Amino acid sequence: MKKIYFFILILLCFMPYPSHGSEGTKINVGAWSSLPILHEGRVKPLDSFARVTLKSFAQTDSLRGLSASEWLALSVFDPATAVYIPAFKIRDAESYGLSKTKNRLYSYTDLGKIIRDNQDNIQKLIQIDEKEWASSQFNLMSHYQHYILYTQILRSLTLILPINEEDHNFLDFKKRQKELDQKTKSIIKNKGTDLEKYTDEEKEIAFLSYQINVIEQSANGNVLFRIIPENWEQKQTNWLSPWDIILSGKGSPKSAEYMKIWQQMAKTYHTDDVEQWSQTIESTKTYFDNPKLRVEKYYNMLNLLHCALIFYIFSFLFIVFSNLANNKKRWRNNLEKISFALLISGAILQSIHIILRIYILERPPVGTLYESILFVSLICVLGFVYAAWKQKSKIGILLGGLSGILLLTTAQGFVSEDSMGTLVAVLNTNFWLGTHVLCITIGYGTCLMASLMAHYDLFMRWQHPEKGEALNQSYQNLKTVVVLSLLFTTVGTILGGIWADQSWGRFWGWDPKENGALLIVLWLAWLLHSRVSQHLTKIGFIVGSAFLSVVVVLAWFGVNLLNVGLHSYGFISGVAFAIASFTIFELALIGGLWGLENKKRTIYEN
Amino acid sequence: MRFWQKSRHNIIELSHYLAKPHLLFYALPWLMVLLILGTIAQKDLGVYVATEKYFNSFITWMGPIPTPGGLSTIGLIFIALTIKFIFFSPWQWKKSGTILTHLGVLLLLIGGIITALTSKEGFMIIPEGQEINKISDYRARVLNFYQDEQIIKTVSFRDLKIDQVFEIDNIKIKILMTCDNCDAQAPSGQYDNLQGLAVNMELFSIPEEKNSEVNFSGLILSAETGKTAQNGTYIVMEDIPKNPILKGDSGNIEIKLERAKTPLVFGIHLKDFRKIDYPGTNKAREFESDLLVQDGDLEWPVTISMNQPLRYKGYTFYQSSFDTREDKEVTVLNVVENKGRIFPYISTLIIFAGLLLHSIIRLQSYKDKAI
Repeated sequence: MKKIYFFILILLCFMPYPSHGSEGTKINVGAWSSLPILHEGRVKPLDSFARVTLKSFAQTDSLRGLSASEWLALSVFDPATAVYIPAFKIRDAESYGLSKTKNRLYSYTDLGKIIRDNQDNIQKLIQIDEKEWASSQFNLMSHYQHYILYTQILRSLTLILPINEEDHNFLDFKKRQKELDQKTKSIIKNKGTDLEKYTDEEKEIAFLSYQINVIEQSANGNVLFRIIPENWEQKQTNWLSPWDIILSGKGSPKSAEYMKIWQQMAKTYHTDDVEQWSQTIESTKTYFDNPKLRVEKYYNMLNLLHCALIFYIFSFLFIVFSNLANNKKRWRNNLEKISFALLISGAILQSIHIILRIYILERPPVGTLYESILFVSLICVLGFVYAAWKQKSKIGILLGGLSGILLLTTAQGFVSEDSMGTLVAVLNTNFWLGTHVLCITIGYGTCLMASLMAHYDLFMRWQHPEKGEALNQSYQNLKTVVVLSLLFTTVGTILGGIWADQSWGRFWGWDPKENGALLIVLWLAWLLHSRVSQHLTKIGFIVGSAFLSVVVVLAWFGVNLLNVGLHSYGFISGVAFAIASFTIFELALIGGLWGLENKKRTIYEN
Repeated sequence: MRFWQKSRHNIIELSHYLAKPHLLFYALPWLMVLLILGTIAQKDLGVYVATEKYFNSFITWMGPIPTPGGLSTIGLIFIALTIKFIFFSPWQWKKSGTILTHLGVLLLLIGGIITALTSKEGFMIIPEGQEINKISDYRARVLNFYQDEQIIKTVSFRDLKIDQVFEIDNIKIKILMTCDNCDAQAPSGQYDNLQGLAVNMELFSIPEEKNSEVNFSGLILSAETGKTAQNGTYIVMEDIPKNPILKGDSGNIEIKLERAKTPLVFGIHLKDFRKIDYPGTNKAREFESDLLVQDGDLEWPVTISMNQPLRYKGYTFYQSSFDTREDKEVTVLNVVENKGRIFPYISTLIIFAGLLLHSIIRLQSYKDKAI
């Protein structure tokens, strides 16, 4: 067993971890990226903000040679360089006259050209309802939004960035703005606007005055980079951007001190002074020392879900290989052990990933559709791990790996740029998330387990109809999982009704989401009762259980397509085709397996 | 005698049949069909109409074909389950999980029946600083005749008929047209002697909204009084403050089309409404209403929010929505009176215990067999 874990350790070493070494600067932004920022209603580390933002621009959370945090540091501390970094995915770049690049990434300057060339179109589109935009128009407006957003980021700290060689910044000159404006007016009054007539000193004054006014005007409404709490004593407080503080006058002595630290950061970033930079970052600990922020940064960095998926893939491959090594018992046993260890390791990593989310978000891990898929996937894997351990069977390992792969891959299709968003008011209750939603998602998990087991059972009955005892054992296992599914889905559905009674005043309103949950309960109740009444044969029961996958997918995702009812927070679009394809695929697969099994059974019985 | 014997025999036979799970083999798939059709239909028909058609009906028409509706299907399952539970339950430890589960489902269905028969639902719109002691109905409208701000006659809007005539305080009122959901257009010349709003517009009927509570109802009526100057055709529309006021023998009569209201024996006063956003966003984290319940000489403060309703004297008040009117915040409370609300709470516990017991017994017997 030690050898197996040594092997897993080697595998871990090859996992793709993002580097923190950046190109062109010796500054390490590791500790800096743990500093807090308020974004989308949640205080998160700068690292998360950087990843979410970069993902929305570049559809990836790191660039070649730059991590998201490094890219953000460059953008706020050195915007003049950042504007040339290709960080915007523009798939239709050629239609705007830009030359095609390998990864379709373009810089802010390229984006700016597109926006300038299409200014009139953009103005027209702003007046039109979004639903009427064509796909190309939608893309253009998306580029425009990215341009506006990144412009804000680039200007976030322009008030403290050096604007001349003496390291003076906007704030230094702001105190002299009135005097500079008056001097400039007097120069214009005496010499007009022709720069040729100005002395060097007059040119400098005029330029400085112009620069300060431009910086101030362009920073109006710059509220994205909320790094300073409005009230340092309150937990639930609004946060302000540096520009907000200056323009709205909502600062405090503590905010001013903290701004000075950021000023020092900007200076040391520019001078590439690693030691000074580290000391400055260290000094922020007197303001914020929230372990949650550090944990979130490591959560981002480790990407345990990705690791878990790789483990599941390897677990699945090893168990398949073990089947091929039928004649070499030692090989087969070792492969099975490795496969099982990989499956357990994957489940542990996924569990840690989910536990970290609970710790960071302070709520049960089932607040969004994406989270529910992660949780259902863990339930399936853990269920199969238990079955594999209890019955010393490799079927559990095979199905555990397969369910992990299928569900974690599906989850990727539902992950938004920010997978840790805030919840709508009605969902903002840990009690009901921890009871109803947890219960019903466990039910979804056990239903999918039952479906996978039924698929496998059909396959085995087709391939090995002679293995009577093993098949009977498999059938009994399936029945137990179906009963458990009925337990969790029924109790989960009724708890949902009680939550609805608490929130909306009615236990049951035939809302699509409620009907979806009821559909699963009825399907399970029908399967069990029809088996008791002998209307369904063993095979009929297995086939019906296999179709649980379709019933669960319809109830879980399908009802959200209707955009009807009070569960408006779950609406999704664009998955109708995927659901239809899955249903047809399952019909063909289960129907095919059933037909083949039937044919083989007839031959075998004769 | 033979007839009674035969009847008794038939009843016993039927009971035996109903007590078996055979019925469920056909009833549950049909319920699933209704469930799927009723859910999909909500997209086009709206939740209320689709629910009435597929789930709250004894017969559901599939085109010209009558089929069992949700009520008859669930009713049949309920009868079968009751017979099974009372007369044919195998009272053995091995089956205790199943029996408990069936009891839980029965209680759930009984709760559903009581809720369907007794529950009343309405809403209250309370502006900040005001007190309301009436519950408005979501759907039912009434035509009210006011004299000195007191209602002297009420007629259900649904019961109004064309050419129906009322005589109030020597004013003869004749209904000319009604529309459950109205739109307005310029007068067509169909009606004579136009008065009030009718001078500038005429109502016509448009298809009802999916959610009937947002329908905009109205009617056209003619009035004849002793004073010829006010005789003519009038328009009455809900939520429009300009209502016809006619002079009767004993005073002015104002005609209003309003939502039906149920009076409460206590009042709800809104002190403050708050929408609390996530910091730095416009996304609501919480909605809260600070209320003052006033019952006789007693009054006490209560704060309700999402998932935290107020329950008092059989009514439950839920934070449903909010609005801003004339710079004043307004809270919208959903009010429900439901005598069956305790049943789901009890049945959840019983079903949970039943299914858990069933699973444990099943696993245990499975283990015993293995040994």
